[in-house]
Amino acid sequence: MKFSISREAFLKPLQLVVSVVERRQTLPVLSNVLITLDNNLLSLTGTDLEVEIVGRIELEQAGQGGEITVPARKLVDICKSLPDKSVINFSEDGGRMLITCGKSRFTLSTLPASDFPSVEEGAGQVEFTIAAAALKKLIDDTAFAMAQQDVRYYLNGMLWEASNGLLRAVATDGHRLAMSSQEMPFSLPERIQAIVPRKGVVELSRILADDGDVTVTLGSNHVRIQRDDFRFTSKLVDGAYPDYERVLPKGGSKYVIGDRELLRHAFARTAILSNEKYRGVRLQLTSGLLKITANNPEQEEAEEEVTVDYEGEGELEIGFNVNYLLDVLGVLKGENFRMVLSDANSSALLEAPEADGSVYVIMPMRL
Amino acid sequence: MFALADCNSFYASCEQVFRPDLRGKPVVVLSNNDGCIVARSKEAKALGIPDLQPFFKIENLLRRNKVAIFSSNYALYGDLSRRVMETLQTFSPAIEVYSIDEMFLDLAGMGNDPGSYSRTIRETLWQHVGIPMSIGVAPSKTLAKLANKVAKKAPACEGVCVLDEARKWRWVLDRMPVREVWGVGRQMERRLGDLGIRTARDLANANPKILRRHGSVNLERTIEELNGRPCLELEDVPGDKQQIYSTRSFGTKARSLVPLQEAVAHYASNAGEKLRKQRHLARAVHVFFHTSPHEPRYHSASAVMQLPYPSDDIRLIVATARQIARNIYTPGHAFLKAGVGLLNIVDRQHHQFDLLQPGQNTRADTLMSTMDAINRKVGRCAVFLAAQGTHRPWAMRQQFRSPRYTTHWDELPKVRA
Repeated sequence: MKFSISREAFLKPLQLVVSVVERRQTLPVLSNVLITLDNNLLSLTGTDLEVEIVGRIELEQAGQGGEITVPARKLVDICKSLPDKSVINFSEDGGRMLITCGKSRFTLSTLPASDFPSVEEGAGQVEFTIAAAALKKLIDDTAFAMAQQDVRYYLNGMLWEASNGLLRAVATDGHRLAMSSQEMPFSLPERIQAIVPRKGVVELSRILADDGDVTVTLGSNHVRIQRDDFRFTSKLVDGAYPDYERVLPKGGSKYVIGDRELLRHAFARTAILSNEKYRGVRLQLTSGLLKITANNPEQEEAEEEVTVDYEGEGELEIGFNVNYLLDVLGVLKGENFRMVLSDANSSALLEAPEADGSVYVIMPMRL
Repeated sequence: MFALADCNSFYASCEQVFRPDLRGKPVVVLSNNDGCIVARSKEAKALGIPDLQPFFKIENLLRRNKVAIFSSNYALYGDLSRRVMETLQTFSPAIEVYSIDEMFLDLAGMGNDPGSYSRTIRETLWQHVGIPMSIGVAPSKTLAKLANKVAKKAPACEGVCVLDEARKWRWVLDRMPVREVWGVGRQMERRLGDLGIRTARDLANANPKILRRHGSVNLERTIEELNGRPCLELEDVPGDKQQIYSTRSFGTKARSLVPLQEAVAHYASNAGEKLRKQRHLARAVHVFFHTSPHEPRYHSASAVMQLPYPSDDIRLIVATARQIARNIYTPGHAFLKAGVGLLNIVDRQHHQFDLLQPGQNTRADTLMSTMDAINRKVGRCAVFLAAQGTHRPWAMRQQFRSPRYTTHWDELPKVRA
């Protein structure tokens, strides 16, 4: 293998794949990145056995093909520290990768490409093309609600569901749920569900750009998203996702509409004096007014009053983890928010009043 | 001014309260399972019986000197401790129960003569409960702790030492190794030694800002306190435990899964009782057991399992603990000790409801509070899970336990006149 490439052109695909490489590895080869050169198409691959990312770039000048793996972090550190706009030369010789650039010279250890594991691919169930920005929105609107290291392992990821005319993303940790939908020209005999693991979701959100389209392949045990310059593959979480539709509150008797930013700031201020461990705040809803209070074990207290439109019978007092409210108000778009409540023990539904496909459900806390 | 009131040889003194014949005689109390010596009366100390010594090693020495030997009787010590605290409470409105036999009192507003006030406290306690006590008085809690050590060690003090002036505490600090200072452990002692700080006085004179780099803000506080500037206040509400463990050695080693699971169920049940007492719920259970570390082929096993929902239901906790025990058990070992921990504890008051999991139902809540009510009224373990076993061959050895004089009707002391 032998090729030359500009520093900037090489760093782009390299930085795309390197973050998937874990710092501590079981297999030595997993801390390496796979470099493949085939007909001037240079591919870089990183994997943690669950998520695999391939970054691709066309070489401007012909090289000599081949495939080899080299330590990922060291390769990034070397390339990043070289001067801007320099040209880097790579050549493999006798089990070593020689990197030269101007008067700099590095020799990296290698491991054979045949040792490099690939994420196994099953048959695709459905394949579709979607705007990268639309897919990114689905992910970014919901990812915050994914569980982390929950025993209910199927919650440590994001549900993707393709049904007739709709692609939907759902995430929940049991305390709150986020759901976002996007209309799609599907016609499917039955709905298809896939749970994308947490790390895959985080990586995907990072590499998706705001422009262009991507092709999505949903298989029975993997998901693949690709474009000319990258290919992302992730294993799926093997498990049944809970029936999320069952937990979406139906009805609700109390409707609150208010200024989203105003409320977000009020919550952020009250949060300062809420219990550091439990983060509880108390919401008191009376005609036209939402009163938010918090206190902590040091007996310090915060109180905020926010004017809102309130429709519904009677008053309501309900407790929430303020972080959950702040998360939702942070991802909601638009000037106003709408909240639907029923009683102190039942979940609250939050959304933008002008429906944009995303809804959020938060379970209360005991006061 | 703070006073630290500390009972002398508390467990041994408790044993003497209902055995006047043992007053002035050597008495020792053994740890759980009669393992080693944890308390010695003044006379036992005078015989040169070392502290924390394995019982079997010095059994002959004890017998030769006709030392009275007791297994630990926590029902008795706990109840007498409560009586001690009750009496002390009448001497100050601001108190902090620091341990089973120690209490801090704030003496602000209690007159100008803390020495004679402390002597009154001491005499009243002797009259009310029959437990001897030492009292150290100083402007800070750290100095009060040191004053208490002086009160214990110097017979001339007659149980009370007041360090109310700088010259007095400096005299003491000069003569105290830094290890004796409250909050300085073995590690810290070594680190301070490297900096040339060997006595409490060296520490008091050290530059707090420089030392902060070697310790934490706590070390800086200690320095201030040693100079008579109080930084620590009384903590009147004891903090709730973040995790609850119940751990015991077995009376008879467990060679199969059945006794091991019984013991684990029993410890889980004890921990659950404590959990409910502080009105918390646990989210995970930890179980471990091991063989004797003094024998060859040492083997230990340990695992944590999450509960499906935060709970204080003993049925769920015990079932989980037994499940863990089954998972980590390997045959062919003689297990000496086991323990159960309840982890990730959350306050019931701040319970976060779950969308997918309704959590512990109210029937379980009612059952648990009924069970606790019966056990409080009739006696501990009046109602228990069958999984805890009925014979309990693994139960700890307590061959020398005195009667539970104050907490069990059938063990009340009898007076014949």
